[in-house]
Amino acid sequence: MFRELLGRRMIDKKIEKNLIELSLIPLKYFEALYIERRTEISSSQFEIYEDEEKEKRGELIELLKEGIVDTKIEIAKFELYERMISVTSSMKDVRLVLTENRHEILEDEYKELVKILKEVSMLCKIMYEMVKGLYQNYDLALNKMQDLMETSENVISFISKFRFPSDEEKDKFDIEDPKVLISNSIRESIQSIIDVGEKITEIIEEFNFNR
Amino acid sequence: MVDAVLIILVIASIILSFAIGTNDETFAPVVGVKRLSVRSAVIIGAIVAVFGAFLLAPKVSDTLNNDISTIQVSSEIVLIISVFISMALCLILASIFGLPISSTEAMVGSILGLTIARGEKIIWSWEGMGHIFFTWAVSPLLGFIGALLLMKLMNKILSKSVKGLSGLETSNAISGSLLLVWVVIAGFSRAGNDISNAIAPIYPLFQNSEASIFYQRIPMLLGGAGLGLGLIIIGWRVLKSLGNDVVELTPESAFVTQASSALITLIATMLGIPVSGTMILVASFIGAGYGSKKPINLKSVRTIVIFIFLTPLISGSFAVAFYYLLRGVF
Repeated sequence: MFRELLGRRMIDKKIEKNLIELSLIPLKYFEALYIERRTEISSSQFEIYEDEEKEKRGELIELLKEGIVDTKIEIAKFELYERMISVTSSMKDVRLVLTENRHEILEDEYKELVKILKEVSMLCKIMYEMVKGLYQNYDLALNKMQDLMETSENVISFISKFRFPSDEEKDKFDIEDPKVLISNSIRESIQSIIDVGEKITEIIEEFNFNR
Repeated sequence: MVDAVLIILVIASIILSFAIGTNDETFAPVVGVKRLSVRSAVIIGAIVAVFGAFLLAPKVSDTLNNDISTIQVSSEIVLIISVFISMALCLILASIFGLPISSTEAMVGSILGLTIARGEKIIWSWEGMGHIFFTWAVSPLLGFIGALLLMKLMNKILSKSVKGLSGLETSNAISGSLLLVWVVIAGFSRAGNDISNAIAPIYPLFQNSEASIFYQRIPMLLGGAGLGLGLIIIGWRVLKSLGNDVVELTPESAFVTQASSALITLIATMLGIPVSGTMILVASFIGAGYGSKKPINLKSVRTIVIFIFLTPLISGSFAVAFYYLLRGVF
């Protein structure tokens, strides 16, 4: 009861800090992944980023559990957190698939896929700016959503040659093909970043006094 | 016999205080915005009720002198007990169903029922029932309009000052804390006022100039304790239903609800317009919800409105039934 009387502002501040920091991890991860794959020099940064992500996840789950969390705003923040976790999970999958299939793919195709990683890191940067915008400036976040959609459209068209097979087209493509596996995992990462953007837009629409 | 009467009056006073506590909706906005859990709200509400009743020492001398009929409730013990028990029963039953009702309405209904049953005269002029009807008509209207306008103003200010979620959470924290302070003050003064009627018959019995202040205030303490217990045992139902079911509140709209109802009551009092606190608060909930474009649960509103009309009829019937039952005993 004493905690209830004091309110949740300090907890909310910590959640804000941790959510923004968590949203920065995919950017750092994809940047590092791009450099690692381009230079072919393995980096120990990934372990640091993965540990940081694990720590942030733990802290956030504890903070979100504290006090009364069934208000609409708390539920919205939890849903945003879940979507951000999808991004961090998919970024690890991309690295894993790239590592596993490095020698199963033509050099030129591999280089093209690596280039896409740079573009994905740009998307992660927009996502990070959107999360910051959500907390500090709704208009900025909404503008960034447009950038996110345009940039993701470009990246998706760039990976279209590796095709993400739809149900109708699955006979045309071998889903076990390494380049398809890699492009699919990148595509999933992009989708999870878009999902974060859409959640942010939803939250702004719900909690904006100007609506 | 005198001791037995005293004991009966004390019991009746405590039962009515308890019943008023079961229908005390003061903390509903704090519960609605989840600033406090229902459990914490009733515990704090009970503590506030005891202190409010004990310290604010209400002016009880004028209570129970009604001007709506020629019946003199304070002149017969059977009348007092009939009014008290019927009011208490009405309030407790409404609280069990989570319905906020006006204790003034229950009292007026009881007195009118007894007036009719005893063939006495109802005063229909402005000095009597006229101003009561005016109160019941004008209170919800003022509550709704006041909260709606204040909510629109609040939204205008917030839309200019709140740029992001961080600002919104700061606004929520400030509104939530102000709301908490506000309801504690409201609970304090309400406890002082609401138990006036309940302890009116026993208050004079404890006023001995040679006795200590504590002894003189035993009726207030009993009333406050009864109010607090009522809030803890049954009152949570009303807090839950008004706080969660009628309209979805934000800390800002909840603050508007409390602020506008207090402001309207104050202005009305200054202008000499009689108003009902419960009706204003319930209407303010709806007005603030409407002003913040939140969906309003019309089913809950309809039930509350139906019971606003039924309360005087039910309490009047109860009062008459108890009167004829108790007349054989006393």
